Amino acid sequence: MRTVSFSDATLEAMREEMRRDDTVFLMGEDIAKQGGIFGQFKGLPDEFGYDRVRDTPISEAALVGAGVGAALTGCRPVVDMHFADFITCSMDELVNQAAKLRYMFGEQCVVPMTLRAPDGITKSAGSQHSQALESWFLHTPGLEIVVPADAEDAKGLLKAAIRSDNPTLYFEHKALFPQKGAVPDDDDFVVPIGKAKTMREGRDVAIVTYGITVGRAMEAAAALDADGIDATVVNLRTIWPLDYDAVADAVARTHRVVVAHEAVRVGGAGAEIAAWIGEHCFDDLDAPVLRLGAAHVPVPFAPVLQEAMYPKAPMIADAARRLVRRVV
Amino acid sequence: MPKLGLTMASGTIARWIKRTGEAVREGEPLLEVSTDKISYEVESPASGTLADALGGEGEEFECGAVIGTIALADDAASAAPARANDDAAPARAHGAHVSVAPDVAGTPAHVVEAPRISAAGNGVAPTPASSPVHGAGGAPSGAGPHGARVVASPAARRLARERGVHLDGIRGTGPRGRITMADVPADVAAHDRGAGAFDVTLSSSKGALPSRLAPERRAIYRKMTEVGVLPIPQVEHVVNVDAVHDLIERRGDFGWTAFAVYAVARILRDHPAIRTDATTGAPFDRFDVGVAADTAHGLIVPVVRNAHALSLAGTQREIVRLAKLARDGALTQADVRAACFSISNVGPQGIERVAPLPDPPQTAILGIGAATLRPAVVHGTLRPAHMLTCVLSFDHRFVDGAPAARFLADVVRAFEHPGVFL
Amino acid sequence: MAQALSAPAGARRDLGAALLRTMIRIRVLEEGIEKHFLAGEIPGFAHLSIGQEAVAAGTCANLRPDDAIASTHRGHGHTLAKGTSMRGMVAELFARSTGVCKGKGGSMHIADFSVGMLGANGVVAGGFGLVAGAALSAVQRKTDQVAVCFFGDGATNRGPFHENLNLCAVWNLPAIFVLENNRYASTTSTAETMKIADVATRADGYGMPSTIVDGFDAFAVHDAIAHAVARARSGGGPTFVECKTYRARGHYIGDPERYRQKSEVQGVMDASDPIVRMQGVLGDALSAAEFDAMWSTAREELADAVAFARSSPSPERDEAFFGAYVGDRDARDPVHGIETRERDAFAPFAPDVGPGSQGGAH
Repeated sequence: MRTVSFSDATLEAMREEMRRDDTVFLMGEDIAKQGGIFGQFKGLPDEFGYDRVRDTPISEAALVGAGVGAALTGCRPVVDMHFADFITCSMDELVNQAAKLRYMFGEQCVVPMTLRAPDGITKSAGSQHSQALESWFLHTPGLEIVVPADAEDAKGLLKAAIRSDNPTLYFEHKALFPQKGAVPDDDDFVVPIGKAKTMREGRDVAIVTYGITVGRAMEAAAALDADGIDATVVNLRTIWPLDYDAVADAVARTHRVVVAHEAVRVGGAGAEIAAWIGEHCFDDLDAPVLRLGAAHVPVPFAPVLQEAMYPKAPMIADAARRLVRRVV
Repeated sequence: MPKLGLTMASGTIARWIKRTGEAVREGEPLLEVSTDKISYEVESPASGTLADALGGEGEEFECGAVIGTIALADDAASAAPARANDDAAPARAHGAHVSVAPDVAGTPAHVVEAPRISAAGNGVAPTPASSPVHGAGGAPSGAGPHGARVVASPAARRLARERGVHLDGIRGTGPRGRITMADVPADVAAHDRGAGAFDVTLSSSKGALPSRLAPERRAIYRKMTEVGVLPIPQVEHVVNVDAVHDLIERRGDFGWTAFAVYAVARILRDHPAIRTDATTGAPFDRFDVGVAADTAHGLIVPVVRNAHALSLAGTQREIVRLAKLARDGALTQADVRAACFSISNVGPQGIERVAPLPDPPQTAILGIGAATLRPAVVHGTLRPAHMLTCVLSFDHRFVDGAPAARFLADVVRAFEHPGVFL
Repeated sequence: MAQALSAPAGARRDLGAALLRTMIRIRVLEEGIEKHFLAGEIPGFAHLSIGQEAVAAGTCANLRPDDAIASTHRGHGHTLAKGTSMRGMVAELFARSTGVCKGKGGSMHIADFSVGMLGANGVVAGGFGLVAGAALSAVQRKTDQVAVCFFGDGATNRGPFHENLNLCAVWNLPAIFVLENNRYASTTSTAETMKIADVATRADGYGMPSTIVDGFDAFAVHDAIAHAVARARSGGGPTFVECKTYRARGHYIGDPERYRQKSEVQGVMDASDPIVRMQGVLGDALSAAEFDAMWSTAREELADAVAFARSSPSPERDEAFFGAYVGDRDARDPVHGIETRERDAFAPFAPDVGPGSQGGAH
């Protein structure tokens, strides 16, 4: 194992997959010469050339559409959206094309495209550069969605996404890029799509989460330890296909669940999980399922406002405590 | 806090004779209670250990409030150890309960269901054997305001099922009285047979119980002592039941008791006072009718649930089912508790009249006798008809004579003109 | 009613006959689809390309099976001209499991990847990105494949038209943009929706070479495309070819066509029917017998296709739940379990929908 930053972990993944398969290429805005605004593409054009690492004009519809077209015709494109918020400029290409072609053409084709989308709240980027949009695509049949929580996830899930024959959205939280973590040395190490990872096991309460909220949940769990409350933390890793079995196991073990994410709480991925728990794990529940997510407002600019409206470790710990102490 | 006199509303703990942790024997003096009139020595209702002396000396409690818990001799501290986080549960006040301390034995205090009693035989009408005497204190745990619905988490329900424990009577310590997993006792023995922790709410008179009184008669003995001082007048009518008699002969799929239950369950809808819950003073909002049954094991009163929703044939089937369970000694606590009204029928014994006593917290009871041929005046002429005597006994603290008579009049009308209901 | 000055000979004549045969097959297919749609045998929508046959025939005659095309909702002619069987097409429209898309696409989403047909697209301008991508893919894999995008005048007002033309021009991709300017986008004429008379001028804005041809003249289309294909295969980049054409039927089958006069339609077809045109151009080089044989062969082919479709089974109901993800038919795949549970949840409630029970006029 080595310790690398999240951003370097993604870079390692790109490099390994581009070496392994000539049909993998990368395109997006400000990636080739600049190396990505977080340095996550540094050095790739030097090794693979500017034909395989392409800067595009500011044309998200063409970017994603061409990604789909190239995927249909024998390539494995990695398309970088720059900010996840700009997916909105290519919704038809993603939702009506990428997600549907295989099914509606009767499985004549595959769309092995990976779409990288830096997302999430950080540094007062404001409402149009801070969103977490995975729940829109959970609602769109035909797409895979992965959300890495740490460097190991970052590398393993990106490799899996590139190797997957399905169109895969890879949501990478901007604030995670500098965060260091351990990655295995094996350059064939892949985190399988559709399997969650239990970060810690405890009997009192479960926190089911993904992405940057996993780290916040682990912080919360440490605080709960001091209160004598032992928490399970489940890192889903994949939003679709969802590892429902891992969720069910956590509920069976603890009987009390908080589902947490940074994305808006209303209609978020947590809503699907909570509803499913109510349907399938009803008799295991000793308390209602609590959901945490951002407030139903656009993300504000001023730091004091931005920090007020999404769940962090203290709020997660408080929810867990309320469940365990049977206040709710 | 026992109700030691008709007008007693509250009492003060003068002195605990036994201390927490001390062993007690049934009948031994346990504590001294004083009212504005006199002092009483209260005897222990069971043998075991005084697990919680919740009320302090000099503290006053309303009658019916739980002031202590006795862990039975066979109730080893084998329940799950207290969870570290329980002390953060908010205090639940039932009557004048003090804050809940960490639950040492792990088995929470809960209301005992009195065991079945043996047959009366002295002309005093049987009463439902096993309703808990709550007094004026708090509502039964986990249940709604009229005891209608048990609030329990799904996991608690499953745990209770697995352990063979009934949720009725478990006190929930979760939010809004929800029964949670931690509230479910470890085993059925601790809960269902009436063993387990007793609340010291049953009254004791100053003297000891009659020394040769059969154990199964103790609960009814105490209850009758209480009820005996209540104001229970009656209204009565002798009804021409030729029409019902003919219907029974023709259809053959129901009997007299079933008809009485069927009619009463529907009539009770319009007479909320008759189904007053003496613990709250407000009407029960359900229609569960108790039916006294005489079996080889003694008297027992199983309850027909939601009697207003059953058809006549369905009522008969349910009564037959409950009677069989009663004969086989297979009725459970859940089958015999919490009726809102009861019926006692001495017709099977061939007797024409019974004036039963209501079983608190019910406030009324209907006694019916055998339908026998007697002289009757029909359309101005004297001729034999099947006549049946109905007696409605009622608790005058809650029900006056005229409303009682109006209820009975509706019952009479149902018996005279059964077609109205069918 | 143009007449060739002299009848073509040799390879040119053979090319003309081949183009004519394709156009006649398209015409017969489209008229058959019209008839069967109105008879209620085709569910959903159908958009006929009668009158535009020369563009499909002239373009596809230049393409290899491994060249890609992307088509539109009005794509039956492109699909047939690219090499898809009439049986596969008609069965698909009839919603049978033997259709090219197993009954999951229908008229608007008909596709045949075995001949490089990347699908009709139900979204106007949906094909531009796909073609830019296919062209980019050829460059990445270092092949000389080309990609052709068919589209209508309406698509040229959508964002992806502009983004992809620009991208293909600046990246010099082997793409060919074939505009079937039939003067109407649904119910709005080009005069109402753009300030310019020739859409090809837009290509100038992106630095892309363009040409304008008579879309009723299959030879003219063929020659223009041949030029564009040669440019693309040799690394010369994209070309924009505007074909002036017309559709003889409404936007969709059942369209009341309130936006144009019947006399206009009649007039254009009388003057410009591409089949009549080619027949005229070939003149004596095409005997009446050969011409009639083209029609009868096409009709036999259609009749066979219709019989095939009618006798084919509907898709199994369970098929609704699989096919969205690669691997979803594999029991080891996480998605398989999810889709299986959904299938099972729906199983007791599915209504009976038999063949031919849907598809009234829209």
